[in-house]
Amino acid sequence: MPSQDQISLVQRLFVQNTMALRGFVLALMPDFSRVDDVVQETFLTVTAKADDFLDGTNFRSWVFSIARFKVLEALRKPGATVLSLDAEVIESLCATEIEDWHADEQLLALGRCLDELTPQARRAVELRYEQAHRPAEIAQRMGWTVNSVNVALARARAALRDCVERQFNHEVT
Amino acid sequence: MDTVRLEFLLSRYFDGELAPDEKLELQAMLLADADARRQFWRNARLHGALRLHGEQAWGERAAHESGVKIESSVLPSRAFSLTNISRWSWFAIAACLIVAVGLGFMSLREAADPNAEKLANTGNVASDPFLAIVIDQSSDTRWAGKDAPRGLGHALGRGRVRLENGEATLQLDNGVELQLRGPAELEMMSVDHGVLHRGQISARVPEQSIGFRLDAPGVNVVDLGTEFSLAVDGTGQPKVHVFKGKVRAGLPSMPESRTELNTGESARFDVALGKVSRGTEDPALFPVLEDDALVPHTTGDVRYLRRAPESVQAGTFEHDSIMVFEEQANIALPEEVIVLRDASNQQESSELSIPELVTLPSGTRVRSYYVHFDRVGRGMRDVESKGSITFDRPVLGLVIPSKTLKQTGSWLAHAGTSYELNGGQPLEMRFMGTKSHPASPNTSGRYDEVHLSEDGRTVTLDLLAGWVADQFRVLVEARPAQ
Repeated sequence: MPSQDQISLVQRLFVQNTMALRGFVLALMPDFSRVDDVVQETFLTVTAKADDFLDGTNFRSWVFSIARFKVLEALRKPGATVLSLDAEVIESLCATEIEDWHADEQLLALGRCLDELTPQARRAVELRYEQAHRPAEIAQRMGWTVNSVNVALARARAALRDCVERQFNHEVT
Repeated sequence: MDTVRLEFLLSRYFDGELAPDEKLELQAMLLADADARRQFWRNARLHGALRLHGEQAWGERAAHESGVKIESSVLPSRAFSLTNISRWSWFAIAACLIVAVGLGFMSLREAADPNAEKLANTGNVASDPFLAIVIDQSSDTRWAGKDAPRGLGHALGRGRVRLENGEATLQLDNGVELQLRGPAELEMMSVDHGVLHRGQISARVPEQSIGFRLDAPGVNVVDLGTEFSLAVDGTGQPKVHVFKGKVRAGLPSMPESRTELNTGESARFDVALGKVSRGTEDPALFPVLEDDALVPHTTGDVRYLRRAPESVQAGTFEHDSIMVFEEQANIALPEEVIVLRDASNQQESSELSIPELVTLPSGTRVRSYYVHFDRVGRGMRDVESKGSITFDRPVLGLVIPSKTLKQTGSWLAHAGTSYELNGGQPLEMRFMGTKSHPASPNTSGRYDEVHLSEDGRTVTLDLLAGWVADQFRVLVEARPAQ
């Protein structure tokens, strides 16, 4: 059983990295409803394996590797793979060197970039990410075709991604 | 690499729209090309950030709609570093936050809940049209009438219901308990006022509900702090008996008939003759209200069911109460179980707070209770219900994560109850999350909280149900064998 100090250390670091972790899991599991399950399971494992973490090493890398296993575990459950990528693809993606994700700064930039979207595009993004609607539901609510929603979301995301990266790079430099 | 095609497929992937052949195509691109994988992460970061931003915006909007003022400095959408997260609650749970449970579950729920659309935006528990929940009923109970409850755990509102056979215990929203014995007809006018047209009923009125009124045809009975009973047959002579405390009863057409009855006293009211006869009535006429100190005590929106219901599947119940029932009275855990526990109430704390995990060793004897909260309908708004439940012995821990809920379900689930399944998994609460407002738990509309009192016997619940039903177990120390 890990010492209480070690448990406290990893749990504190977990809390500090939760946003980035949730973003990581969201990328691998497009179904929003499953993300918190994986984050919960990761938290429990991090606590149970607290002794495996060495203070001063890269916590985020450690917790992401645990989360990756939890994602793969979740995807093995019946009906879970429909929207998700296969395990070998996820392994391959996770083997790719991932740039450190500064979630807080990116969110601040995102808030500003959303203001630059057209009202209709903003509405589609809100319905998708705030209300968790799928494109078919968004189409129904906006009186659009599903294809129009798909295009609008794709364009909005591309514009936002470029805007956020521009702002973030500007702030960093 | 066809970057335009990759962008298209990634967009479809993040919207959950990939067709099987598109999935194969995307996977082939990702496996073959490191640049494609880097592009995946570039888009994934934005997708994650958008969802996080959306969750916070939703919480902010919910708080605004509920009239809660939130200091902008504590809103995560504007201040996101750890030092600015106002506080963490160890049992803050994103049951409502991660809204989509999956279309399969939503379909299931809609199918099970034909009133879903009609009731879709009921908003909160204040709009719950029901006045009482059936917390117990005998096995031979038979309800009738269009407004009748469907059975144990179900609700009844204003209107007239018939209990053709058996006995049922109702708990009103004001804490009044009614024991109804059939054949009976009860008409609830409001939470403070009912009319017994026929049958036998007993009422236990808590102090905060003194003044509760129960009428029989031609007779009024007003509680003055008591447990009393009323029997109505076809003779036109309703009978009143006071078990404990005091009532005021009389014929409304004859003010001079008004009389007060005290503990142990009975009276018979002859409506036709306008006559009141005090005396002794047959005790068998009056249903006995169970008074078991071992039955958990509840407050607020929490209802304790005296026996396990047939089902806790989504959409089964049409009210917004939090229900708790015993699954197992005394069972030894066959394996060790990791539970969540905390001995302090962190409501007002600004400290970082993290769940305390405790391992219950194999062989630990427990009593298991199941908590179920599933709001009416599936509209956009969450429903918040609050209350507490106090047990006679200390709580050993709470089983919340889906894995442990499933693990313990195989030993602790009640054999006669059909549990919620979602893709083979039980639904559950979430135990990690941020708080966006320190002083008003859940006003962000985003997280659920469960706290244990310092003596470990009272569980305080502040739950939000969206499209996900909140379900978890409470493991209580088993009582010593008699």
